[in-house]
This record gives sequence, structure tokens and C-alpha cells, in this order.
Amino acid sequence: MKTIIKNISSILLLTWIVLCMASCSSLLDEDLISDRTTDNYYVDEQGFEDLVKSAYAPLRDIHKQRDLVLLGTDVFTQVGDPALGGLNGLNEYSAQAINPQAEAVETWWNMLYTAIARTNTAVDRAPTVSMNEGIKMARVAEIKFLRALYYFYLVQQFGEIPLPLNEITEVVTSAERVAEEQVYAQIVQDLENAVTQLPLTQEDYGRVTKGAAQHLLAKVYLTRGYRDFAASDDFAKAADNATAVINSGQYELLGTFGDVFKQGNEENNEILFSVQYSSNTVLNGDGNDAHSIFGQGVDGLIGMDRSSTYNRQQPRYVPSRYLASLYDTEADSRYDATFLRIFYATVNQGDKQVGDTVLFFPEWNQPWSAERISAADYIAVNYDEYYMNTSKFTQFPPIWKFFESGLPYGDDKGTRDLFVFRLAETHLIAAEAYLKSGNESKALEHINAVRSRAGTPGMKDAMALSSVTIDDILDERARELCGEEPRWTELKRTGTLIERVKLHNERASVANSIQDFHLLRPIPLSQIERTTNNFPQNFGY
Amino acid sequence: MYKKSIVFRLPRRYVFKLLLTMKLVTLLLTVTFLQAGAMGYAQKVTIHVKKAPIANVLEQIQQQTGYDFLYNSAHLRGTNAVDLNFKDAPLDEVLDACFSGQPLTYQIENTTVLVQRKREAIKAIEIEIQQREISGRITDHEGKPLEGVTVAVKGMTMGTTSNAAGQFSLQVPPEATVLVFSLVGFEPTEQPIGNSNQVSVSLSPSLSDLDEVVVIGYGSVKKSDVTGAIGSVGRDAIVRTANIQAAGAIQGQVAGVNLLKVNGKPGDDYSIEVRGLNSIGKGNEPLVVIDGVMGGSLNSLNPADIEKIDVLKDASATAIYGSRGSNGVIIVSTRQGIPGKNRIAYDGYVGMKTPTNLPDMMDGPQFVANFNEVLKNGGNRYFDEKEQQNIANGTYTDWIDLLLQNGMQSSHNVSLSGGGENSRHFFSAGYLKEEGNVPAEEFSRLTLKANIDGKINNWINAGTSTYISYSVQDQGSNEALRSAYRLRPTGDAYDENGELLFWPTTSDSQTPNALFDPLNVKDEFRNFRVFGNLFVELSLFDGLSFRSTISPYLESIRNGTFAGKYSKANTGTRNGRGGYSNELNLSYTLDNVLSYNRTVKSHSFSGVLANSIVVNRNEGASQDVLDLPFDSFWYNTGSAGNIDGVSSYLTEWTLLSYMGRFNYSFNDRYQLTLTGRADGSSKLAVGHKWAFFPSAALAWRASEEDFLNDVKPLSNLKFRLSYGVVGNDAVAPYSTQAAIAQTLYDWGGNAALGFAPGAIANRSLGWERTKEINLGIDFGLFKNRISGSVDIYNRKTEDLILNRALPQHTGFSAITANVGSTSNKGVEVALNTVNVHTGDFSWKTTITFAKNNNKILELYGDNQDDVGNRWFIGQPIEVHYAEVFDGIWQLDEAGEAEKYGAEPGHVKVKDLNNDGRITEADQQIIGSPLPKWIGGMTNTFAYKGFDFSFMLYSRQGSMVYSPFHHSNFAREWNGRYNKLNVDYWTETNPSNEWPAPNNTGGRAREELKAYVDASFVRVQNITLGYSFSPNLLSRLKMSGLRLYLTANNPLIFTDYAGFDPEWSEQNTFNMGVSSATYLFGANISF
Repeated sequence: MKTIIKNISSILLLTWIVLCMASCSSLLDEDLISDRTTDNYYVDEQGFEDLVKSAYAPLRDIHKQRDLVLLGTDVFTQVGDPALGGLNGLNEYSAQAINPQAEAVETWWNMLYTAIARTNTAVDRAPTVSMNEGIKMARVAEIKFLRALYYFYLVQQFGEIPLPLNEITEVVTSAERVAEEQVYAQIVQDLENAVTQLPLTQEDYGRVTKGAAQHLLAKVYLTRGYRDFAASDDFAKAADNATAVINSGQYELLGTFGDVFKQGNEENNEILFSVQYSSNTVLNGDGNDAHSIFGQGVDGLIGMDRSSTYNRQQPRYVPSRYLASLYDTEADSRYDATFLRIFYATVNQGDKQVGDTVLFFPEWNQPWSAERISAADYIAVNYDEYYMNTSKFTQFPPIWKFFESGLPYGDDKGTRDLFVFRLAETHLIAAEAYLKSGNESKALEHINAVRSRAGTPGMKDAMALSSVTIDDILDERARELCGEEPRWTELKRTGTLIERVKLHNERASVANSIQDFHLLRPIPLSQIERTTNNFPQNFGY
Repeated sequence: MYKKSIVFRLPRRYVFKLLLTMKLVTLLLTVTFLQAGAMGYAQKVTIHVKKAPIANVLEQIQQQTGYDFLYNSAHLRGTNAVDLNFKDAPLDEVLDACFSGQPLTYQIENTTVLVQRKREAIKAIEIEIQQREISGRITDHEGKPLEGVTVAVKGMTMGTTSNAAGQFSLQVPPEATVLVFSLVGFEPTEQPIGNSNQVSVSLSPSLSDLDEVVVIGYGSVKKSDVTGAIGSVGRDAIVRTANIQAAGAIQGQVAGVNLLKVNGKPGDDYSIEVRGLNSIGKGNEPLVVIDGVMGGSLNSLNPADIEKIDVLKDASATAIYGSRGSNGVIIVSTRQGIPGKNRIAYDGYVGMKTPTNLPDMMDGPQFVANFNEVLKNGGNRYFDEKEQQNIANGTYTDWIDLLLQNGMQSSHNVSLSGGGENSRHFFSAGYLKEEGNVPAEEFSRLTLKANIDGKINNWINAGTSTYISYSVQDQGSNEALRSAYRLRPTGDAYDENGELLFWPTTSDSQTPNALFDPLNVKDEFRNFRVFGNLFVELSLFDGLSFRSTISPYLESIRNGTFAGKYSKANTGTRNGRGGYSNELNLSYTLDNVLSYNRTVKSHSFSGVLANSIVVNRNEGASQDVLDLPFDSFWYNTGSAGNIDGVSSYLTEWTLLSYMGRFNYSFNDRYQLTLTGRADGSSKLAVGHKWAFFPSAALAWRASEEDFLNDVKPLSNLKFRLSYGVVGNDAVAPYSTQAAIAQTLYDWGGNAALGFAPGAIANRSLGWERTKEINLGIDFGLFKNRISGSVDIYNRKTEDLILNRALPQHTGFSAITANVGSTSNKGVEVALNTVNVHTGDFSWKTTITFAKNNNKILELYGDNQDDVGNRWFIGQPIEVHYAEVFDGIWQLDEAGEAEKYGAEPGHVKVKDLNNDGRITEADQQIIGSPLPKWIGGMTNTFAYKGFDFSFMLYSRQGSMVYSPFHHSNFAREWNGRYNKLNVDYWTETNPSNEWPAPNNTGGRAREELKAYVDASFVRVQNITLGYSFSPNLLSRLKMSGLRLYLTANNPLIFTDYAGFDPEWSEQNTFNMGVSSATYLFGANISF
């Protein structure tokens, strides 16, 4: 009997083992439920649309990276009296700060190429995606605009660069540096293509429109026009494209400069293209930081608490004194719309009541006398002391046009859209293009359009210029677009970077480090180290 | 003939003699045998003895002549000791002298000597044939009763075992003269039976562990039969240190196992590496097997529940675990019931944890002096008015003193064990609590354990074990400790009214008062783990058995985070934020194992065939919210004004394996182990999922050979040689697929969530393979007074699963690929010595030493270094590659400094290529965090009831990039924060160690000072205990009572200036303070 039971159990046992093994064959298949792959997602409209959206997303981080486009220019600097030393930053073109390992350089390179890979994938995958052809065409055009924008940002900083145009699906460890001429040709080709395919308006606010593409194309032509590989009609094409935007009927200059930056009015008629931010914290990610990085900390002063009123300010990009000095304090409304010159107490403290003046900056061209300053029961800081004094180095009138009220103190997750292109700049591009084409009257027409709008009531006509030079245009750009335009590449384009930095950026001027080779940034060391073939560094680094 | 089956562990020679003796008795009873006929012998004997027992004399003669002596040892009872003094005398002459006056006679037949009682004596014995009962009590050296001791009559087959009270009784025949007492872990002891029927003995602990059972995965063997490299730690050593974590309890006790505490907060875990790093950047953690349940975590266990930990190190030992064991296997056996009376025990301790070895920071005046240097060097910080007053008054704040506290630590564990004829059981419950030295940090753990197994009938065995562990760890604030070390001593913690000030100064808006965070920040984990197994074992035929085990492992990890308004994170201006996340992990292993054991004469075979399926499923979700209207922590996320993020995930993986192991042993001298395992992993690419991993091992117990029998000092000598291949699939599931990654954007405020390509797919990702050869020697000298083992190994890992860095123009930073190879070569030594061993006093020493040499052999096949990832061929996987600190530029070197764009006071770096510039070419490998060697030494002393032990642990030659040094405490000399009290350069103090404040030569140069040596020698533990005598205890109806005092980490010797060198690589955000614990404990059993 026992033997029988044993035998039965042996049979059951064998069956058990066989069952276990038989069930195994499919056990090792991976079933990815929570996610999709590039191959099974980018196949239909939903997948393709999401891929396109992902190519927009890097706009946020790219435009938050301002070290390479603002510092070391004529209008932005860093705090500190150059006489006290410490001239070892990127702003001063110190080798210690600008080198192949510099974080700013590597970040710029990496995030732009990551974004480009997304655009390449979208361009390559588009033909196989089944969806409405009209929408698809518009999306591809948007993507080509983005690719052009990203390459434009890269080529201006690094010169000769790798130019991948296709999705990468396998290990690639070699790279070639392509001539700038070829990169520009690709950018122009993508943009020309985009301009013909893009609609004038988009249902989704924030998508690329024809106007935005024309604006960028104008700027690209303008930039190439200065170069030795320029086509003869580059300046003309720049002017044509800029004028086309201006005459499209889609955009207009708002009544006042102040209106453009009124909080809540981000989607105004002057805007061609802006980086989108949202008050939905999930969508907003790390948010816009523009409200907090052009300022200076006042929260240590008596009467000032740490509140949302002025929020936490970090003097990352300090407006140079040259920038302040560009403004006509009476005729130009932009002086007071750009800078905050008076701070009021936010808390009852010491002898200060809420609302009392705590800090005041006299107009740059009307400094107070020492007697008047010492007589005032608040702090007053004259133009010649901005950001120079050790004990109050943070004291300068900050750029305030990006400020966002209502954010909790210390919160850098701003929700206001960040302008990339607006019609005022289109006018200034047109002005520069016409000037370079030899048509000064047209140039004057466009620069005066911007200047006149900026005039204070009754002073609009007084703002008009009667002659114009490249320097006038650059100064005008600074007044109108400081903190918005990538100042470094504007100066580089016009061949004025080194001269203007030496003239107007006191710290860089004292450091006296800037040289011709600084017109290109170092190639990040990681790119060179990871490339298996020889990948030359830019001269000088 | 056998009344009871008792396994004797007797030396082979003894067994042989026993068989001969029995044969002789039979002969004597049945036939009248050979006539005595003493013939002439050429054999000569030399013997000089005094008062020697006859048995010894006969043995000596036997050894000299090679003649066999046949006698019943009972017949030697009552014989007189003899004095003999012969040189080269004939055998018969010597024997005559020997037996003269004795009740014995002898006959020589060929080369056999028959010894028998004289006729009249035999008669006398026949009259006496009556059994008598001997009883007694067996205790250990401390007087505690010993259960399960085998009691046998020497030279005969009868025997019994002792009960829980250590008592036994045995019927013995009259000729019985000696009782033999034996128990694993104790020296076998012989005790003559006198006239009394009472025999009580005290056994002393064994000096040899060769009889210990070593768990080898899907089976176990005696230590003497081990062929691979295996290290073990027993219960005594684990419990002795009263450590919170099991991993901490074995630190330094197994050579080649590198345990490193990852942080110093209560309940923090250890990282574990066995024999160095194989993988680059992928998992190097060994597999933890708890009672057969794979993939568990050591920190869920109460160390008091652990019976033994075995660590499988070489490829042969781990082969049965295949890919899961490629980084070594740690097998934990928890305590099991012991048949006999139910025993209840209590183990507990209570004590204090106190901060120790704290970094030396600047005090107020030192900080102010430093600050003035900062200003002199262009600094732009300032003291606010209140700070200036404080400086003038000399009133400074010691933030560290204000923040740190002593914490209580306690543990209580109650267990019940027992069993009967057919079943065993063990139950325990434990509770442990550890308070942190930073307020709000706390860890507590509740554990419950139950084991039952037994015979259902004579061929079915079944059982189950369950372990439940529930722990609560509040990591408190990530910032409090860092803030206390950062804050300026010139600030104020309290205002004039004694109220806490949130901002200690108005001159800095970064770091609020460190005392706020512990009150307003929580980071709490509640981990609930249940694991165990259920098995059925069938004995099919002789030696063949089948066992099917299912081992589920269920883990729930809940993390709640909260930062209130008055925390550093919310700067007193924003409402609180909370986060709630939950992970639910379920895995189960199904093992079907067929085992066969058979011994034929001198050949023993055993084999295992098994099939194993591991299914693993992890899911989780988290939600983070902002703007909580009131402090509801994470328990009311719905009330929040804003949602910061929500997410959830699911990952699943499966491993399917078939394995077999064959062991063969001949004469107990030659041992062979062959193992093969085929593994299929779902994580790898289609077509690359399966691989086969073979291994073989040979062992030779040389000390069992005849030619070594006479080498008296040698008690054990064994050589082991093994070779094997193991695999590793250590990638995250879905790594071979090009997954997409979500991106955030919006269209005019409306969602525009996108999906970007997240990775480049690797469609050929396969197994990483490690080949290892191991040569080991086990030895024992002077009756195992000195014993130990030495292992050398060479391990080579190929087809590394590596995050290969890609040039960024591809848009991707890396791809997971099989490239490159690494090697680990090393030596491990374990040494046990019994320095003193007398009746009352013993002193034993255990030493472990391990040295591993880690090297990258190849990366991408082009013999090129990957400088970007800091991987260099021929160098360890982890190295520091940087400029070389060369002191500080001094005033008289100003001219030379200027050439390098530096000034006096700046950090000077070596211009390695002497090109007059400092460029990338001036970087070199300056060190590695991997230690050069690790060692441990434990000394235990016992004197009567007292036991004393201390343990040293050392890790030498590890250079770390210390976050403590590079995050503010020794960097960023701008006066914002307090600093490590170092000798910094000023014009009047030409230090060559630290640069001038605020004029250091740049951040990159300052950070060179963060490469520091983190070598240390730690007095890990000192324990003094006293065990009360059994006499006293029996009156208290107790079977054991030991009280002890123990100190953990009372002393450390190190040059490392931060907190504990062991977690010197921990970020200062979330870092834990270094501490020592002082405990009082009791072990009580009934």
C-alpha cells in the first residue's frame, strides 16, 4: 500500500515538475505595461504629437541658461568692485571659468543636442505615421523651426559643430565638426521649408507660427550676412522676412512698453514666440526663474521681511551701469518700466512702518549729494555706487519687467511666459538689415517705430532718431530687449563684442582677459573624451 | 543489535579497532582457538614508559611493530599501570614484562597479538553480568546544562542523549569503563565510570569548527567537507555586539566581505560587497537568502533571531545560485526549535547613544578672525548689527551643542523554542528602538517569527516559517545637522524674550535656525515585510528525496515627507508641503529540488537537481503636494492648494533556472563538487536571455592521509581548488527597450505633455560573466589551538553590463551595453587562535584580513581610457582623477605664481607636464575610494562566569571625495558659513595646507582639498558579561542568566576630519552624525 502511495506521489511530482517547466516558456517575455517604446508609440497621431511636444519642452531649460548669452557683455555683469579682485568668472573671460570643463558650456551643448535628437526623430518618423496629412505637415514645419533654432543657438556659440539630421538608434561614438557655412545652410533650408508650411496662427497658443519662423529666418540671414560665407542677398532677405512679419497683419506694437510686460498680459499682440509656462504646478515643472535672477536681496534691510512682495532676489545677472546710462530718463518710458528704483517697507520693524521708503536709487543722471543722502531716513544709492560697495554690494536698481507678484518667497517657479521673439525685435532686425543693405531711411523708419512707442506721453516725437548706426541699433536693442535678447550673440554678430565688453563691462575690462578666441566657446571636454575619432578643440582652449 | 541508531563520530582508526574487538569476543565465545605458541621474533621494541596504562603501551608497540593487537578494552579495566624500560628488546620479552602481574595473557598468531583475560578472571566477569544504570548531568564550561549531548559507552554501541536539563541515564554492561560525551561545538570528553552510578561532566567548547554545518544553498555540508570559499559567523559573534542591524554585527568578521555603513541616521543600512566590485556602475550587492527566501534584506531582521550567517564567496560556492549569486551569497539561518523541553528566553538591552568624534569647527573668535580675512580678500559679506553686538560682547552661539542630544537605544526579544519526537517549533517577538542624536530622528522595529516543521508520517516532512518585520524610520530633517554646522556662531538662536528666532542673522537668507527643522520636517519610512516559506519534503527511496518550497516575499514601503512652513525648505513664508509614496513589492521563488545521497564503502555521493522560478513584481505610486493649509503631514494631501507631482509605476521581472550539483567524496579525503546552472532572465534582450554557468571544485584533506598522521602538531590540513563561471543580469527591467520619457510643457497654460525618446535600445544586451579561480587552504595546528584558512582568488568579469557614455551630440549620454572587463584578485585570511585554555580561563583571538586588487582590464575594445567616466584601463573601477594639490603659493613665490595666473594664498597645483600652464593634461589619478585592505580582530576572554571581548575593525587606504569637505565646511571661503577649524593661509600665517579665505584660486582648486584619506581603525565593540552559576540559577528556576555591558564604537582612530569615515562619501544633505552607544543588557533563559 505504502509503495502505491509512494508511486502515486512520484507521478504527481513528475507532473508538477513538467507543469512548472511547461509554464516557463512565456515567463521570460517582458510585458511593458506602464510605458511605451519609441517603436510602438511613435506610430500614430497621438504618439507623433507627443514626440513633437517633447521637442518643445527643452525651450524652457535652454532659455533659463543665460550664462553664455548674458554674462560678459556690455549690459550684464556681476557684482563687485573690480579693484577688489575676484575677476575669475565667466563674465571676466577668466580661463578658470571658461574652459572645456565649464558647466555652462557643457550644459548648453548637451541640452541643445538632446533637443535636436528629438527633432531628428520626429522628422524621420513623420513619413511612417498615419495621421491627417495637413496637421502632419504643420507639425513637421514646427519641428524644422525648432531644429533650426537649436542649431542656430549652437553654431553661434561653438562654430563648427556636428550636424546630425537623423534619428540615432545605434551606438555612435564618432563625430565630425561640420563647417559653419554648412550648418547655416541647413538652418536656412529648414526655416525656408517651415515658413512655407506653417500657418499664420495656431490653435494651440505657443506653437510655432509662420511669423515666428520668418522672424528667426530674418535673424539667421542677418547673422550670416556679416560672415565671409554670406550670400550676397542675405541682408536683403533678412529685411524681406522681417518686413513680411511686420506687414502680415498678425502682430502690432502695443500702445506702451509697460503694457508688454504687464503681468497677465503675456499673450499679447506683440508676441511672436514665447516659452510657455503655466500656473498648473505639474505642467510648470521647475518654472520660470526670470523674476528672481536680475535683482538683489533687500530682505536684510530694516523694514524688509522675506515675503513675496519683492521675493528672493539673486544678483546672477547684474545690469551694468552702461545699461542704465543708455536711457533718457525723461523721454523714455522704458527706464522706469525696466528698473525698480524704490523699495517700500514690508514689515513694521525698527523705525520703519509698512509702506515707508527703505531703499531708493536716484535717476542715474541725477545723483544725490552726500548731504542729501545722509539726511534721508532711508538708504539712497547713487549710480556710481551700484553693486560696487562691499557692505551693500547688492545695491543696484534691478531689472523688474519680468517680476511676478504673488509667488511665495524663495519660489523660483514663476508662471509667466518668457518672450523669445516679439515684434519690437522684428523692427530692430529690419532696421539692422536695411542699414546693412544701405537703406538708412528704411532703417530709421523701423528703429523709430520702436523708439516712438517707448516715448513717454508728449515725448514720442522727441524719441525719433535722424540718423542710425549699428551702435545705435545695439543700444536700442539693449534698451528694448535687455534680459530678453541673447546679448552675447547680438554683439558677436555685429562684430562688436570685444570692443563693447572692454568699454562697458568694468569687471571684464579690468580683468582684460577677453581675446579674439573668446568669440567661440570651448567644446565640452566630455564630447572630446567620448568621441573615438579626433575631435578638435576650438583654438585658444 | 543496535537498540538505537546513534551516529558516532569516531576516528577511523578507532572504528577499525572496535570492529576487530567485537570479532574477537565472538571468537572467544564460540571456539577454542589457537594454542599458545610463542615463537621467536625478529621484531625489536624500544619503550620507555612510567606508570603507563596498558592500552597506551600496546598502542606504542603496535606502532613500532605493525602488529595488530586484538583485545576487548573492557578487559583492560582494572589493570595496573606499568613501568617499562627496554631498548631493542624482542617483542615477547616486552609483552611478558608488560603482562606480568596482570589478569591478562596473550598469544601471538602471525602478526596479530590476541590479548585475553586469564581463565579465572573470565569466570569472575560472567558472574557479574548484570547491567547497571549510570545517570548524570552535563553542563558547559559556564555551568549551563547542555541538551542533546551524545553519551556513549566507549568501545560499545549503546548510548543516549541528554535532555534539556542536561541530564541523562544509560544502562551499561558491567565491562563498561568509560563514557564518551560528544556534542557539536564541544570537545569530545571521556569520563571513567567509577564505582558510583553517578557521572557528571562539564564539556569545554570545541577548538575546532570542522564539525559545524555549513549551509551551501539547496543543502548543507560539514565544514570539513566544504570545497569552496565560505565564511561563517555564528550566533555568539552576531549577538555579542548588540548591533541594530545584522550587517553591522558581522562587519569585520568574515574576510572578503566589505560592509560599509551608508549613513549615520537611526536605522541606516549597510552596503555590502563580496570580493570587490565586478560591475561598473551596476549592482554589486550580494544575494541575501534568509531561510531559503532569496532577495531579502538583512535590515529587516532582528539580529537576535539569527542562528548563523554563511557567506559564499567563490564562483564554485555560489554556482548553485547562478546569476543571482554572482556578487556572492549571504545565507542567513534563523533560529530553529530544538527537540526537548520548551525553553523561554529573553534577550534585551537598554542604553545610550551619544555623538562622538565630531568635526572640529571654528568657535566664535576663530570665525570672526577668519571673516576678517575674507573681507581683506575682497569678500562682500557683512555682519548685521546684532552680530556686531554679539562679537563685541563675546557672546557666541554653539549651534552644534544646541542641536545634538543623547538618544536612547533599547531592544527586547522574547523567544520560545522546543519540539518533540516529530516536530520542532520556534517563536519569537522582538522590539527595538533607536533614538537619533539629532532630534526627530528615530528608528523602531517590531519583529515576529514563527517556525514549525515536523514529520507527517515516516516519509513526508513539511514545515513553514514566517518572518514579519515592521519598522518605522523617521529620518527627520535633511538639513538640521548641516545647518547647525553651517550657521555662523555670531548669529542668535533666541530673541530677547527667549523665543526661537527663525533667522539667526539678517546677513544671510540661506540658512535658518537649525532648531526649527527637527520640529517642522519629517521623512518617515514605514516598512512592512513578510516573508517565509512553506515546504514539503518526500523521502522517496533510500537516499532520494524531493523537496518543493515556495518562498514568498512581500514588502510594503511607505514614505511620508513633510516640510512645514518654518523649515529651511519653506523659509517661513510658504505653507507646508507633503509627499506620500508607497511601494508594494511581491516576489516569490518556487524551488523544486531532487536530492540523492548514498554512501558505498568509502565512496559517498550526493546530488541535487533543481528547478527554480523567481517572479518579481514591484509597483508604487507617489504624490507630492504644496500649500497645505495646516500641518497634516502627508495624511491629508487632498487639502493642499497645489499638486506638485503624481506618479506610479510597475516593473516585473522573471528568472528561470535549472541547476544541478554533484558531490563526491572518497575516504573523506578527496572531495569533488560539480555544479551547473542554466539561467534565463527576462531583463535581457530576446535571443540573449539564456546562459549556462558551470563550476567545479576539488578538495583534499591531506591531514587524513597516513603519511601525515605522525605529524603531531597538525590536526587539520585541507587544500581546496575551484573554478567557475557565474553570470549577472544586473540591469533594470526593460533596459533593452527604447523606452520613452515624459516631458512637461503647456500651450497657453493647457497641458502639452510629450514623450521623448528616453534611451537607445540595445537589442543584443546579454549576460555579464564572471570567471573565478579560488585556491584555499584550511589548517589546524596543535589540536586546532591555531586554525584558519587562507584563500587566494582571481576573478575576471567579462561582457560587463555597462552604461557606456556616448558623445552628447547623439542626444544621449549613455547606452547600456556589454563591453569591457574587470578583474578582482585578492587574498583572504581567517585565523582563530586559542591563546590560553585552562579550566577557568580562556583567551581566544579571531583575525580576519582581506586585500582585494580591483582593476579595469578593458573598456570598449580599443584599449582607450574613458576619461569622461573616470575609467582607466589597469586602474580600479573607482578612482579620483584630478589635479595634484601641491601646497599653497607663498609670498616669496609670487613671481612664479603669477605665471600660472595665481597669487600667494592660492592653492598650488602641480604642473605635471611642466608646460607652464595648468591644463587638463595636469590631471592624474590621485587615489581610489576602494580600500587597500580590511581587517578585523576579535579577542574574547572567559574567566569563570565572566566574559570579556573587544573587537577592532580597520579599513585602510581609502581615499574619498568628501562631501563634508567640498560642501562649505572646508570650501567656499566667503564668510557666509562657519568652517572647519583648519590652518588657513594669511600673510602672517604661511600655511601650506589651506588657501587664503576668499582668495583660494577658484572653486576647482578648493575642492582638491576634499580628496582625503578615510582610513580608520575602530574599536568596534567592547563587551563585559557575567553569567550566573547554575547552582544559583537552579534555585531561581532559571537555566541561564547573563548580564553584560557593551560599548559600540567607543573609539576611532582616523585622520578624517568630517563625521564618521565610514560614511565620508555621504552628501552633507541628509548626513548623519557619528555616534557611540553604551548599553546594558541581559540574556535570560528558563
